[in-house]
Amino acid sequence: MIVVRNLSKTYKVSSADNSSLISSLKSFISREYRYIKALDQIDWEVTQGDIHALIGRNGSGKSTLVKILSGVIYPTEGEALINHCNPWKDRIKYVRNIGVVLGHKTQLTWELPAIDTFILYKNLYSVKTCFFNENLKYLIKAFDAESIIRKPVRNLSLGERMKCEVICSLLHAPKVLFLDEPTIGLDLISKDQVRSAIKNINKELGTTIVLTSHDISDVLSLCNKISLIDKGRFLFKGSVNELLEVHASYKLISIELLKRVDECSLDGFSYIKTGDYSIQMELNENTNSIHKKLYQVIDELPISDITIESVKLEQVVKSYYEKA
Amino acid sequence: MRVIKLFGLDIKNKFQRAIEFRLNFIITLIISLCYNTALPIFQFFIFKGINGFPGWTVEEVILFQAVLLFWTGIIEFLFGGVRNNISKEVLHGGFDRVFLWPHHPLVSIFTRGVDVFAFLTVVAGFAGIMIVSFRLGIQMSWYTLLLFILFLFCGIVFYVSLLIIYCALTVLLIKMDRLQEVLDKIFFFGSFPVDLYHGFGKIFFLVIFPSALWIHIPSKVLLGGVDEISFYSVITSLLFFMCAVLFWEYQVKKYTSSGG
Repeated sequence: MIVVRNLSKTYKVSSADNSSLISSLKSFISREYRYIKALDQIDWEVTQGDIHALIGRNGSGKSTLVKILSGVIYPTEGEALINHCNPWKDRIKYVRNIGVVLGHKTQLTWELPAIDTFILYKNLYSVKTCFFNENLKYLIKAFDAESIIRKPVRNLSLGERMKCEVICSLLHAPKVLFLDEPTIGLDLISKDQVRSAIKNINKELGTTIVLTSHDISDVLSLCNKISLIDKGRFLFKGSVNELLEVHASYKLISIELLKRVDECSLDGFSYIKTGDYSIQMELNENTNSIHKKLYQVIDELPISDITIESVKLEQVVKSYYEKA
Repeated sequence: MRVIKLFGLDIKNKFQRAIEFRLNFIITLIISLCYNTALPIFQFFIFKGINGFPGWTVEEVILFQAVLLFWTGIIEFLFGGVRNNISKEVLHGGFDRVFLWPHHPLVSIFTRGVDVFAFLTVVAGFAGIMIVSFRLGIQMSWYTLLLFILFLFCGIVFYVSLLIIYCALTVLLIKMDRLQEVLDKIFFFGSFPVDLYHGFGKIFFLVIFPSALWIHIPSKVLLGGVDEISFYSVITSLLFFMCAVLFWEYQVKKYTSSGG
């Protein structure tokens, strides 16, 4: 579905020092530029029907990748094929088969009800009336949006607007949907509604979805594949389970103590004190060593309660960034 | 046909947006109506007072002004919002949307710039042309009409070429406030008869940089005195358009979008 080979994008940015008037004037006369590799010869694949998360820190290159893959900007080098189309060479044909939701940039007409923008997009994409009516009916049901599409967009809440944004991007039944932070700023209930609707659409229509988000709960509830990107290179590509398995040996042990203990009795452990009567230990060893450590803890410490947690996705992602 | 359909959609969209705020719509409509009625009357008195331009009678100058009003109305109606749209969108990142629609970016840019209120200026200009033509006893043959439409169309093509260059430069430079003023000044030069210039100046505005296509040549067509040299402006306007599109295609590859 999506195949990216050797893709690079370099931005030329000025490194002007505007800390003082003299340095501002200097940079006005002679400005120095530096080249930033937003994407560095990356290879990437997304299978048809997947919901694929693209995760990365701010400035890691994920938005650049989405913009290249949606035909908005040209890469410096490399190739990309989506549905057998090159996004920047066959752009007009290609964009008929994609939908893009940019979480912080609206495509809806602010003054009018969302339904008017939907009709505008129907005409922009030359969608046949009967298909449009049927599809719109389906999407309104999926997003539970019957009551909101006739209100002026300016009067909608952020969650309601996001529902309309996603509906608008799906009106022409695209094969690929790029979602750039679709749940940004939404409350828990709105997040859940948008997520379950996206999941249903992926299941029922087979739409391939590429999701970029900083919200790990989006990834856990929606995605079966994940790619971690940092400094323009992929740190990990695979399924969410694979990513977690890599760190399966990591355990977080939270211990509630019956009484205060001397620091010398904790000497044999690597721990963090989280309260007067509570400590936390991070273990990242093989299963036998973990068992041994646990027996040691139970034998040597006055325990009132103990919780053993496996690794959380947030921690794994964080550890990848730290390594990078 | 597709371009006309897109213009139709934008007119519908802009009209819906305009009538959403009723009081604003009514006040703007009244102001536009007053302005477009008063302007030709003021022009009539001004040019009667100064006896027109050299080589042009007062009635002819009034016809020239009516064509100017008609022309201004057309370009404002069709492309009135283009400059502001592109400046705002390139600066704030909304310009990405243009590339997500299944049309050439230039088609998407130029069919979203309709200013519905300028329709009144078109009507006022058209009425002005009709009234002055009647007073001057101009016999409108099919040939005259076709020629008028041809030059008007080429004038639009030339104007669009300048706007394309403006858009391409905005994509590259992001913020270029004074570029809008340059465009306005170019248009200002085109709002006088080229007979005011002599020798090379006249040829320059007739053929090399054919701003005469906007008002001078269509007025001359109506008055039945179009120069043969004016026909070269048709070729120049088309050449300008081709070069502007090539320049756009070259610049758009450098578009970097805005962050995030």
